Amino acid sequence: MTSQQTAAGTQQPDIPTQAQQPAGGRQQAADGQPLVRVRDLRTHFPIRRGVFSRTVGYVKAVDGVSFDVHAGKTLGLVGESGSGKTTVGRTILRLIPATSGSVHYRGQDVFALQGERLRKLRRHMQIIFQDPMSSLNPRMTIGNIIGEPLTVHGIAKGSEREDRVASLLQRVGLDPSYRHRYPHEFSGGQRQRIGIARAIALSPDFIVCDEPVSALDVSIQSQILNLLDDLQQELGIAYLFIAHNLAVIEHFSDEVAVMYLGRIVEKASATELYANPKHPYTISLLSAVPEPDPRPTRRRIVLRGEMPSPSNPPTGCPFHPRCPLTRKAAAEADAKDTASLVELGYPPSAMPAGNGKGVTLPILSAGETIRVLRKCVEECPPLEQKKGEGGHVAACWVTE
Amino acid sequence: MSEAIIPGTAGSAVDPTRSASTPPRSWLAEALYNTFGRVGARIGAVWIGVIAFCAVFAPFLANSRPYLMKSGGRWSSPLLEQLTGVDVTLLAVFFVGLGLMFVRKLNMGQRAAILLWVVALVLPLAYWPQIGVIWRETQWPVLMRGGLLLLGAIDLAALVGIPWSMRLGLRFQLIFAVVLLPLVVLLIVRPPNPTRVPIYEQYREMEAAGQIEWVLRAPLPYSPSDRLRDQFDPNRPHPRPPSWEHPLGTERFGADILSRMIHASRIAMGIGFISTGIALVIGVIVGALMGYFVRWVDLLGMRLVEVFGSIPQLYLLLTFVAFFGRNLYLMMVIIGLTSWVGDARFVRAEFLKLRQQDFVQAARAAGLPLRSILFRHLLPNALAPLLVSVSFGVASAILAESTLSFLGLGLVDEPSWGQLLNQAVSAGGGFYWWLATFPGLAIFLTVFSYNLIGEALRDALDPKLSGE
Amino acid sequence: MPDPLLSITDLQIGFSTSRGMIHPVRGVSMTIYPGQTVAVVGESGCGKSVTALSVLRLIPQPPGKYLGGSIRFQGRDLLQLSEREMRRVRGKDIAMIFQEPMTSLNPVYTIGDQIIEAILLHQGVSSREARQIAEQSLRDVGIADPGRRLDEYPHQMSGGMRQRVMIAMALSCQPKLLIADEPTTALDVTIQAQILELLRKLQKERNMAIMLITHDLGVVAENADIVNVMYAGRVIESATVEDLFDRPQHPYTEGLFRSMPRLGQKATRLQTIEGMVPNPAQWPPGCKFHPRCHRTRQLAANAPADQTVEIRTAEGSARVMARCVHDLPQLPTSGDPELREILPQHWAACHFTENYDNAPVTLPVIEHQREVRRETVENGVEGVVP
Repeated sequence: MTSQQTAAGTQQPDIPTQAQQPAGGRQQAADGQPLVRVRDLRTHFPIRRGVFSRTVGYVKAVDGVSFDVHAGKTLGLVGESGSGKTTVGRTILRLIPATSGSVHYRGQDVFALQGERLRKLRRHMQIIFQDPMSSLNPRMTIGNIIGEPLTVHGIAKGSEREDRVASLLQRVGLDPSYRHRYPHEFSGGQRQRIGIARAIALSPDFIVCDEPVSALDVSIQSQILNLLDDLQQELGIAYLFIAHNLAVIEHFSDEVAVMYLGRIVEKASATELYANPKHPYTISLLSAVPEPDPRPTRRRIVLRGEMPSPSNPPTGCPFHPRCPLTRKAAAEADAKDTASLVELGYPPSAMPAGNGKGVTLPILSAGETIRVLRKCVEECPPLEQKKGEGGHVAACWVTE
Repeated sequence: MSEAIIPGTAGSAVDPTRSASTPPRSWLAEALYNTFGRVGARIGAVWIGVIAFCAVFAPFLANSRPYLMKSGGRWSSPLLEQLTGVDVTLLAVFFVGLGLMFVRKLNMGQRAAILLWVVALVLPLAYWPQIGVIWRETQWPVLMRGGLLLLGAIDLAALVGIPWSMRLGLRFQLIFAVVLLPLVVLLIVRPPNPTRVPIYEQYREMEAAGQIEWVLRAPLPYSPSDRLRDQFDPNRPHPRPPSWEHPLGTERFGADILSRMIHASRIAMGIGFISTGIALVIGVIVGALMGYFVRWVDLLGMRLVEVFGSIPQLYLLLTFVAFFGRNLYLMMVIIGLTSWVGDARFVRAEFLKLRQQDFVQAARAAGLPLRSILFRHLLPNALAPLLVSVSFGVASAILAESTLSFLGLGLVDEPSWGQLLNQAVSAGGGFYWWLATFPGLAIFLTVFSYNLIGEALRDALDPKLSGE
Repeated sequence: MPDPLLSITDLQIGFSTSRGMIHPVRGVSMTIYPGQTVAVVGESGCGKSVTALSVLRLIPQPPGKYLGGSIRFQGRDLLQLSEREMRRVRGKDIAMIFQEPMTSLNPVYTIGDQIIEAILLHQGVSSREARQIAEQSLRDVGIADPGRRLDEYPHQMSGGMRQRVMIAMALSCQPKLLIADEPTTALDVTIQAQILELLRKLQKERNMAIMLITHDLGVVAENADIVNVMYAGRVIESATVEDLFDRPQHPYTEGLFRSMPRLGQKATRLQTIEGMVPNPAQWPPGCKFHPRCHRTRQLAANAPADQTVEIRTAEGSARVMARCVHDLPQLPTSGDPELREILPQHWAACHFTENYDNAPVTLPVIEHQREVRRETVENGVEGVVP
């Protein structure tokens, strides 16, 4: 067991040191520097109300996220809708302005670039979208959709561009003669292939895959996943793979980060995370995945309530109202160290919709008293090394 | 990695929704094809076609000057000699456009750009003598000369910019040069320079005097401004009702109504297209900026839209006529400047909807320049409601001009349908039915046709809007 | 053997389009007993949703048309009922919940308005009683403070909450059959677990039958008693859930199981079913799966040349068994295989399953309810502690 790296009290753990520890036998980039380094990224959306659109609050979609993506590797980002995983991907690519934090690509500060230099950088960082229907311009031919970035970045034009487009189409498994057709003539899987061809057209070394298979049929998903896998092998592309399907993430990622309410609550190598989850949210998420076996072996944990609204997240650890672990710990702890959920403002009934604590489904049933650790309510736990493999970090006060 | 296990190849089965025989069609072509597959739109298109034909060939359809005549042993063509710059430009555009229809390789945008280029080439050449006159004899030298220089610069920019941006093949450029070169040479050697005060009577006098040995006349041998008031006949005063001589009768000063109506179709077409064109350009730019940038650009833009939306168009037209006299081009500009509001709103609404779409995000992620995102990615997707609004806009511009002319504030000498209507009731209170019926019918049919096309466009585009 | 609640026999549905008649459902048969959960599994365009809608006769006519077959519910053929009689069945005896909880509630009415309207229509009670029933049905689906929730609008609720409201609405009239069309596809896994748990609880309490339409094999494995796998407008395999997962017979079912990434099995490479999901506008000839089928290719590789044919596929061409493509005169079966009982209580439609030629053509009727279900710990602490 590696020594406990505690960065108690701080919200930004000392990740650079961890990143340099070789985790799970995966090799680092030659100079040890990650390809993409994200530090304490925050993206808050203002909530405006009234005639003068006064800002009355913020939706903290991403609230202090740090991770590294290494060249040729895949970081899986998993979470439920509203966890902010999509916003992370788009903020890194500067499609959404960040509130604070930094993103470095090969040591270059992405948020500091402007104009021509930003455009140049965009060549190296691309995105694949979830919805193959809306991600292709319905009024452009496939050839133009894939070829336009080539012209704009001065890579190829004229007949050279045509050749490039043809070979890209072939690479993603489509007939090159399709380049004169329009997106509506293709099926979902084919459109996703076109989206992939567009993303690799500029030979990027980093691609954000934003739920690339969740809109596709089951039998098509594996085709697309294998294609992405092949491209990574051949072209050495690093992926930030965003998905809600835990099985897909496990299959595809080298390292996995679990997000809850705009924060990473647990991060480890894929094998370690799935074999030995530490954070209670990860544990219940994993147990909720339906097993494709009519004689199931694992027990399922059904959490009450839903993920609270990111505009009004719970204090301290954002998971504490639903967390089974803190309840168990509170049952054994001193009464002065614990607080009752009812006292904290989670009445069993009479729950105002959508506000209050930002919870819409009941967490308590009538007459129930649940106590949680005060520490979980008052202080947000940092991401710190947990028992297990090196580099396995989780944000929880209670877990080992 | 062996080629055989590339998973991709599996997905590329020929798309079953379309057979291989139909060639791929762009969205716009598909939409127009669907539109004109409808009966209403076809009827409308036929009528607009008739009007367009009249507009292009007006001097050949109704003209007091003979096509060809032999007088004193000399052959001459007074009609060709007296063609105006507008005539020449329209003819050039018509024939080049006809030719371009058969060039399969080009898309609609390229065809339109080539036509624009032809206009930019022919128009200054055709107007060369008149431009010289304005340059020398203008009342406001600084204003007019400055304006002319500005127009010249724009024209030059179009002449250079369009071919540069189109990147047409060499072969195509050669064909084009071969077709246009004789015309250019001809225009430079003999620019159109019609007599400023034509004497139409001379041909009839020559014929009466037996000086013409052989003559070929236009089907309707009266120019629109060929007023027959000199042939005064106290028993048959003008305006005269329809007769064999004048199929639709004559107006107050004895000019042939059919001839005037044929020539007036130019104004009807021109005012519709040019004013709507101006409105479209302004509306698209303002709407696109508002819809893409949102925030304060949108706030400012919407106020601008509100201000322009509340200007009463007709009142403004009347004011300008009162101050600057009766000028067709001024009218077009004013109608254009006051009717872009609807277009801007449409484009803004569409952009607001579209900017969230993933393909726009993809375009940004690819580092495409703003110009490309706005006009290549967003605008074609926002075209649908615009097309409909344009066809209704043309109709309303025609009505505006007719209204103005009917009120007697339109053009002075140039023929216009509204102006003929104006004469239907004389100062003495007499009502001349033919002066009300025929121009009225022409206005009605034209506006009706545009509305039919607009309706059909809307129907053809609507399922696309919701379906995709 | 008790009577089945619903039995669909050889249902055929056509849609007229601008390109002519298409056949999204080409002879579907299935049976549902009271208290059973019957899963209908398939990909987009396989006809599973059309089948479900046709049970309620909600197929728009035109362009849709019932071309044949019968849907017997409690002994009555629903296809023969008048529209008025059908309206009494909908909502009261058979209810439906849809995939998209965002769009299946009307945004301009409170959820109370929408639930109470259905109760008033079917139960002949006063509006005061109807409100009480509505409150109770919200309480049943685990919504706290139902009295207040009734006066809220759909946009004030989260997705999981809305799906609960949809279920409450569907169940307010105590239907005997619930058709759930992808009820959890739009929801997150933890919410999906809640909703499925809820459906199971309600089903047990009321002995209600559920027709569960889904593409998620995990959801099927955990919830279904019987599974019908659909492909290209037909049921191509039908068996009990244990039987199907233990011994899939049809190559498509096999392929689906193999191509799915599973938790805890980090394979280097996924196996795939090649090709595209077929489009109802252009079904291939013969067996609809042959252009993508691995079994027929493997067999063709070792078969004599006169029994195989070359077909054009995406990647060029492939050699498959002639029997899968054409109706061969020397064989009693047609090119498009029908559903046969190849094993006891296990139906499949593939020429090259064992015993296919001798198997009887029978209607798939399975009266089976599973015993083993996945154990659930609500807010469980035990499961969490590693």
